Amino acid sequence: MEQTQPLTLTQSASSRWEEFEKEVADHEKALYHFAYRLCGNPEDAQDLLQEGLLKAYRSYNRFKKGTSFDRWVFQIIYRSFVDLYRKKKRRPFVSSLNETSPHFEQEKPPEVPDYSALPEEMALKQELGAIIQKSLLKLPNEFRAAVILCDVQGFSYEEISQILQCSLGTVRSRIHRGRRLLRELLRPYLIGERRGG
Amino acid sequence: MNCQKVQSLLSAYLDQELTTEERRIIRQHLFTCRTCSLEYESLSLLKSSLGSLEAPAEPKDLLSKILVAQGDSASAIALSRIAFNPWAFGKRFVMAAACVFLFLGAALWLFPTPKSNPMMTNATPQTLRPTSEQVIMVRHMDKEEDSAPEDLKQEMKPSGPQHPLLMGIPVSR
Repeated sequence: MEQTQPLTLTQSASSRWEEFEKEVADHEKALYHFAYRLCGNPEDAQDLLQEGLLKAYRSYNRFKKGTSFDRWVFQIIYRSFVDLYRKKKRRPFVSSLNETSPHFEQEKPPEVPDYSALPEEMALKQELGAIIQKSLLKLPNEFRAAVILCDVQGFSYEEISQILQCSLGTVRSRIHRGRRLLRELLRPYLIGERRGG
Repeated sequence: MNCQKVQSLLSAYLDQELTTEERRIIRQHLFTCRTCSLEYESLSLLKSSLGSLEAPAEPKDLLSKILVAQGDSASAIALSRIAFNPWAFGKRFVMAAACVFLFLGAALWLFPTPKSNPMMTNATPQTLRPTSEQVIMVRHMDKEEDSAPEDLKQEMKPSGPQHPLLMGIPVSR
C-alpha cells in the first residue's frame, strides 16, 4: 500500500534547483544591486528580485548552457520591472503622509566596514549615494536601466543591448541622454564633490 | 568634427565604445576645446560617482523564499488542474468510481426496494383485499341478523375485531 508523501522536489527538480541556486549565488549581489537601483528601496527591490528569479527558475530549462547566466537574469529582472511599473501606473497612487519617502532612506552600510575612511567621509558618501539614488529615480525607466547597467554594473554596450533587447545605437543614445539628465539633476552636488575631491 | 558632434560621442568615448579613429579625433578636440573638455570632465565625474555607489546588503533568505514561492505555485497549479480536469486524478480514480457504480447497480438489481420495483407497490393491498365471496357472505349475515330474534342477534354479532378492510365497506340493508 502506498503512503502519501508531502510535496517535495523530485530528484531531477532537486538537481535543477541546486544548479540554479549555484548560478544565482555567484551573481546574487550584483542582481540585488541592480534591482535596488531600479526601485530605490529595499522592499520593492526584494520583491522585484524574487519575481525575476522565480521567472528565471521556471524558464531555466530554456536557458542555453554556456551563455551568460547573469545577463539572462538581468534581462528577466528588467522585463519584470517594466511590467510592475506598468501595473503600478494603472493603479491610483496611495501614500501615507506619515510614511517617509523611500528616496530619503539611508543607504545601507557595506557588509565589510572600511576602517581606512574617516567617519565624515563615510557620512558624506552615504549622503551623496542617497542623493544620486533620488536623482536616478527621476530618470525615465529605459534611461535609468541603461545608466545603471553601464556605470554601476559595468556592462559593455553590447551586453546592455542584449539585456535591454535593443540596438547598440539605442543603448548609446539612452546612456548619453540619461547621463546628461542626471548631470543636470546632480550639478550642485557634483561641483561640491569636485571641489572637495 | 564640431563641438555638437563631439559632445554626442563623449559618453561613448568615456566608455571606450568608439573606434580607434573616432577616439583619436575626439582626444585631439578635447585638447583644444575648453567647453567640450568641461563636458567630458563632468560626465567622467558622474560615471565615477555612480561606480562608487555602495551595494546594499542583499537579503539572506532570498533563495529559500523563492523555493517556497515555487512550491506554492506548483501546488496551486496542481490544485487548479484537479479542479478543472478530473482525469488529473489518474486511472485509480476512474477505476474506483467505476467499481462504486457497478456495486450500486448490482445491489439495486439483486435487492430491489418497493420504490425501485413498481410491481411491489400493489402487492400488499391485493393480498388483504376481500374476495367477492367474503363480501357476499357478510351481506348475507347482515340479512340473517335482521330476521333473527333478539337473543340470537347478540350471538351473531362478531365478538372479535373485523377485518380492517371490511370495516370501511358500506353494507346495503
